[in-house]
Amino acid sequence: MFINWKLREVNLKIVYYGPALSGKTTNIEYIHARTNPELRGELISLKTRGDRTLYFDFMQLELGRIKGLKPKFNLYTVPGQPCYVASRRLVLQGADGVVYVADSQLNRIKANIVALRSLDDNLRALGLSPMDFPLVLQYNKRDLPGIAPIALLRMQLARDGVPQFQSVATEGVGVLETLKAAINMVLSRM
Amino acid sequence: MEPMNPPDALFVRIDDCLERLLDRSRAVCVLLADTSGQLIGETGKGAELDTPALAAVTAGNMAATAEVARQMGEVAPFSYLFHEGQKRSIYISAVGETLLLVIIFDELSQVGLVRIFARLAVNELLDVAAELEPWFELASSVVDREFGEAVAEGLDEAFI
Ligand SMILES: Nc1nc2c(ncn2[C@@H]2O[C@H](COP(=O)(O)OP(=O)(O)OP(=O)(O)O)[C@@H](O)[C@H]2O)c(=O)[nH]1
Ligand SMILES: [Mg+2]
Repeated sequence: MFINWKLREVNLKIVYYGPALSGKTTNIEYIHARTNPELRGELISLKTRGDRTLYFDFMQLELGRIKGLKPKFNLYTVPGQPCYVASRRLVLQGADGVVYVADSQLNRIKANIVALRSLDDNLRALGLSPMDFPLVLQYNKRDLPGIAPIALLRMQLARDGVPQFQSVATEGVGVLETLKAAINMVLSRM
Repeated sequence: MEPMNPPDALFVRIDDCLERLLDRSRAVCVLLADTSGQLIGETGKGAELDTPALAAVTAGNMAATAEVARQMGEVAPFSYLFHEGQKRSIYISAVGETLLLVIIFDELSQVGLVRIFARLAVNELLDVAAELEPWFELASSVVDREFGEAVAEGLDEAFI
């Protein structure tokens, strides 16, 4: 978080993390499309030719003044592909909260677990404690056949007290709810 | 309760420094951001640019090249980056380990000039950054429960 006392702005950084192709970029694209154009900046996507995230996606969402302060939310996604491990840590720098986007498909369970473990490692590398770090879990792609039951995903991925949401990011189901929960979580931890 | 604020004088010093740099280097616009990409100050003709996005991508650029330096076996990250464009160029300099100074300029200036005045500005900003540092820790003092609730309401109205 950064507060600019002179302009009276509060900046928060929220990072969408998760395994390759879980739907992180789709989340942020939906948020961008639904945000009042006066309150959002451009959606920046540093991606490969095949539309895979290469470094990050970024957008800023701001609100009007609240108690004299203007909240600004900087939303980022990390690249999920294993080869971009170094980039994920760079994007996580300075994050105030993380949305972990899991892929509900049964054949992605292992990838989800590996990515969650890498999130913990990266947070520790940045001197943060994964257990207390504001985290929201999203079980995405609930529209597909061959998905794991929520109970199984929860058992594999959730920890006590972590808010969890089911989503279909391509249709926007659960996307805004997840974002709001993440912002709430960050603010309530302060 | 009104939270404790850092003295306005610190921000005035930052603004003065950025403006002096803009003026002396004949740049188009000057930004100050932290290394995680949050914009702290800006001056010049930034209005036509999406400066928060610029801050985010230049911080990403700096972070990526720091990793390149590490992979090359360098002991320290690169202290500045320079990209020359057809109409405009950009010069990014680290200010200690926490801040970045970004200067965008066109044919009215040249990189040699920008570099000289950027160095002077970095030295000034290092002093201010050191004084500002303790205030970062206190940032959370302005965010209370009432604020959180108001943000939640504001968010409901942000989506169409
Ligand atoms: N059926 C279905 N497809 C989805 C859903 N969410 C995302 N997708 C699709 O999954 C693919 C990958 O989505 P992205 O948002 O690019 O995934 P990502 O997590 O950003 O991937 P990387 O950037 O490579 O890490 C795209 O084809 C999306 O349309 C969903 O809820 N349901
Ligand atoms: Mg992506």
